[in-house]
Amino acid sequence: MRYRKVMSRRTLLRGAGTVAIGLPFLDEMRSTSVWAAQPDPPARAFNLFFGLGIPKQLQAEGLTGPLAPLAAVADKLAILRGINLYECDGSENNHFDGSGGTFTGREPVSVSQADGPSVDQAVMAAKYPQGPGTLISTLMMGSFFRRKLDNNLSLTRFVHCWKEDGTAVDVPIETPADLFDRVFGEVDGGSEPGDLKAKHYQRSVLDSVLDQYRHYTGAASPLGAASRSKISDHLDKVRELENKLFPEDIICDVPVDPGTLPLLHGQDVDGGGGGPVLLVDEWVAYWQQMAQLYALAVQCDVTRFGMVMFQSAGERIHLDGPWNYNGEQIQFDDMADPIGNGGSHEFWHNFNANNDNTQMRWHTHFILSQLVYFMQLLDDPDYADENGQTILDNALITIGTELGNGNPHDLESVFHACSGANGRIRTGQIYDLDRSSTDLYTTLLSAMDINRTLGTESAFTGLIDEILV
Amino acid sequence: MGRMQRWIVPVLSGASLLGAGCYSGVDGGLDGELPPGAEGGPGEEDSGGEEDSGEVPGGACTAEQSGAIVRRLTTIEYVNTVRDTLGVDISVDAQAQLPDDLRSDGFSNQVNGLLVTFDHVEAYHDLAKVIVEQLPDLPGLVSTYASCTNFGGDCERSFIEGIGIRVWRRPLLPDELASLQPIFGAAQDEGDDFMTGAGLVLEAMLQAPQFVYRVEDEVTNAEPGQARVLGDHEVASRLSYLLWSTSPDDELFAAAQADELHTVEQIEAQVDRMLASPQAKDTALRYMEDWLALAGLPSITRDPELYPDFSVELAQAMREETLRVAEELLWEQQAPITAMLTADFTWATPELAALYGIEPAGEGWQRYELGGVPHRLGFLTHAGVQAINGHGNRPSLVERGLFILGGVLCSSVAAPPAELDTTMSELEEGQSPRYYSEARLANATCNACHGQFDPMGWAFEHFDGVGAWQETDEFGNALQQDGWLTVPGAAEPIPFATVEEFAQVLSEDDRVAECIGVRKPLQFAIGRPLGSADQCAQEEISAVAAEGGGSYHSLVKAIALHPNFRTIRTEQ
Repeated sequence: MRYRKVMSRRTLLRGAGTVAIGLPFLDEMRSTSVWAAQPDPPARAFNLFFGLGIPKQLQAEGLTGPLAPLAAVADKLAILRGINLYECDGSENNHFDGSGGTFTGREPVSVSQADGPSVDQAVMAAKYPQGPGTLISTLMMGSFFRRKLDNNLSLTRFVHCWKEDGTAVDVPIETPADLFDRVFGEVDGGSEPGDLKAKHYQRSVLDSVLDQYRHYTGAASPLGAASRSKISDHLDKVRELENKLFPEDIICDVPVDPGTLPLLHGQDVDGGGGGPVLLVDEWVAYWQQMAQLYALAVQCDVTRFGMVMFQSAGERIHLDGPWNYNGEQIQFDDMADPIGNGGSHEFWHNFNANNDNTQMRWHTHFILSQLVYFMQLLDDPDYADENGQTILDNALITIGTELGNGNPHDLESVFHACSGANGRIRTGQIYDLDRSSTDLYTTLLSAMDINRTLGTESAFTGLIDEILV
Repeated sequence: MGRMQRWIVPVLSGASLLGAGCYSGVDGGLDGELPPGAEGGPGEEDSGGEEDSGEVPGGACTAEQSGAIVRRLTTIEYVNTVRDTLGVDISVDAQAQLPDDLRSDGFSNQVNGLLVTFDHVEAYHDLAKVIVEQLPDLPGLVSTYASCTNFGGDCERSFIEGIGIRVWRRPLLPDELASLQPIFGAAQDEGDDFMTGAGLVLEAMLQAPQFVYRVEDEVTNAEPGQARVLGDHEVASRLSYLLWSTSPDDELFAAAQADELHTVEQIEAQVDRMLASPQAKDTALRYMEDWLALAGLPSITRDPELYPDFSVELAQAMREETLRVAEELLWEQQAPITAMLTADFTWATPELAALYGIEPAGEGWQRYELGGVPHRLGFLTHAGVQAINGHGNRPSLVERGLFILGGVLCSSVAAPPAELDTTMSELEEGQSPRYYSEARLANATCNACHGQFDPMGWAFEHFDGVGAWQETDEFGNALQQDGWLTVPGAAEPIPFATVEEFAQVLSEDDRVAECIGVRKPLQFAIGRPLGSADQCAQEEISAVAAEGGGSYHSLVKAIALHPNFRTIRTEQ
């Protein structure tokens, strides 16, 4: 694996790093007239997911306690309380129904298949019918351990980008090294640099391969829609391979290869199913590297769509180590806790609004802190778009989880938040709603000028006008 | 095995009549290929309205069929196909480079789990080059199909068409030929020889969807929404992946080329031939391994302080134990799959025998009768099955019960009732798993779900995290094994006193027989979960298989001879 030598994207961005940094953000500036005069940033949409949910009683406390980390980006978010996923509640355990219903608004077909597209993919399909044209169409990243049910991988636990037919777009990348390779690594295809003959052969072979995939996704394809969609995914990745074999539009600084960090990830880590023990500092360092790489991929326009996840649905881990909980130095020691030794999931399963729920608050604070860290990276003014706003301002970022109250695993008031989508969503507020996820997702698409119901038709009661600018 | 019962149904080889089949077409169904109009494909073989006078099994089904969807080759199918097509063993490189096939819906060959990541595409690219480099005799291969090695024209065409039919498992289309021929031009431009061009053509073929996927024509030659009869090459492909997990061999190809895969007699002859092959046994054992998730055993982790004798080697032995029993019982004896529940023998290494409390009979693998071995009867008491479903150092009755519910009864647990508090009352610490389980059942809310599977998991409380029998747990609590079988839909639970009795009860239950004897292997065979639209065909297959003794052989044969195996539902 070699790495590309590239130029900085900053040199390409008119005014970036000056205008954007120099002006404080003023919400009232976001009138249509102001922003209409600015170059439109590219349509981007990302789903941010975290496992286990936040009970409505804790949500009601506002941006204090476990939700305090959100305060750092609160002016960039619309925080949505009272989004119900009842329409997603089916025959499966709600870890799957909730997780597969979040971002889709529909009851999943199974533990491995949703029943329609996720928000990001619906935006991509509408805005880029021929694909976004970026190196990676959809980039999926997550740090998680819980992935199985009865020894079967349950995709709805950890996949949050779903195609129109409800099948998974991909699986999340789990390590900094793999993410680095995917985004910044160059494929040499076995040829030495400068070996023009080898490159000629690669080109010739690849052209033929691309022809075949185009045929099977084109008008003369002998395949039905679902199959064409599958082959189309494959074609996307062949094109990505092509771009790596024959790189052209490289516009970004390449970070240092993170190498291999000590934290283990992947299927083998949770071989026993009981959940691993994770050192807080180690995991945070690991996550931050991944978050940085993912953010850089967005900033460099390597991708415009995807998912970022910190802990999967029904996550079952054991934290160990110190943590700063709103100024209070606390110590995670889940294995020593009679509830926590069954894995962090058990804190949620034992939530009781009449109790302190101390460890669950700590865990929630820890989870949200990691997501906020990522969002702050996207808020870097050095990578502002041409309209002077950061990517966090311009993109449609939907934050969701799997459950309302983790005790009964219900789907009432499942925490959601979303970013401003280039001034289309009214941010900086907490909204108390009692609306369906279908209402929300349809509203988000409407904000993006996409006219379709995303979710379950029967659950659609109208747009959530109060969040729209 | 004698000829199975069949229903006589007149069948037009053309489009509409086989819309009667109920599961074919399947999403992902039974594999295949073929763009429209391919020589030897449906355009030639099936569209002429030729009447097939042959008799076909099944035929009473009229339910809706699921839509078709292409399936990527699993890693093992990829390796087998490369080996059997080009004579290259790519297993080591493929295992190293291709991401693991995701285990989804109970198996690792299901269409929902067979995603393609960028790592797949990069691996296909790299592996294609390695395969060509490792070809044992490229000139010999070229000469098999082309009598000349001049650039341009007939030599290139002969090679591409000749090798193409094997690599892509059906004749090439003119456009496909036209897409591949420029590769020869590249070699010529660079001053290299014909062999270089041939190798590059192969590289391209090995990355193309026609190779990587099992593609069938999903849109033509039938009325929209109707089932289409497959062409002979498509049937050949379905048969070879069903029975052998690989591409058709010479004989199947020859039969397809000669239009000799049309009638039941023709297909049955091929099935019988293929079932006699070791490759069919490999596929059968792969089914067992996949169903029971045995491949995951070497990667389970256990606390060495609690399980000092547990090792990867022991885990491997656990995996092999179950497969050895399956090989003897299901393959050699051709017993019904349910016989695995009460198998009164096993195979073990000395280390595994020690775990069972059996005096090792010698070095290496030895066969043991279980008559005098307490608490061991059938595969559910195999250490590996208990370990993989134990989920941790302190095994979970819940997970083991869920395995019985999903893996043996083909059922699933409904979602917990919403808005109910599942907080347990204060429980004493240091109690047995059964104590906590009974507390769950005493709570009406918890019982709604746990009552469906906990009592079945009770049978296994004595088995520790690696499947060894223990009388007491780490707190000194006496353990129990009595419980009851809760068959979904049944009026009364069936009590059992011991784990052996539980195995016996399961083995006598029709629902269990249908689940592990038909539904599970059928799902594995067609590569996707069964839906309500499959019920009709499943029942027909089940009935035919039962007449053949209910063995794996009879089941696979019933699947292959069912009319839906020869049809595909085309897109609306």
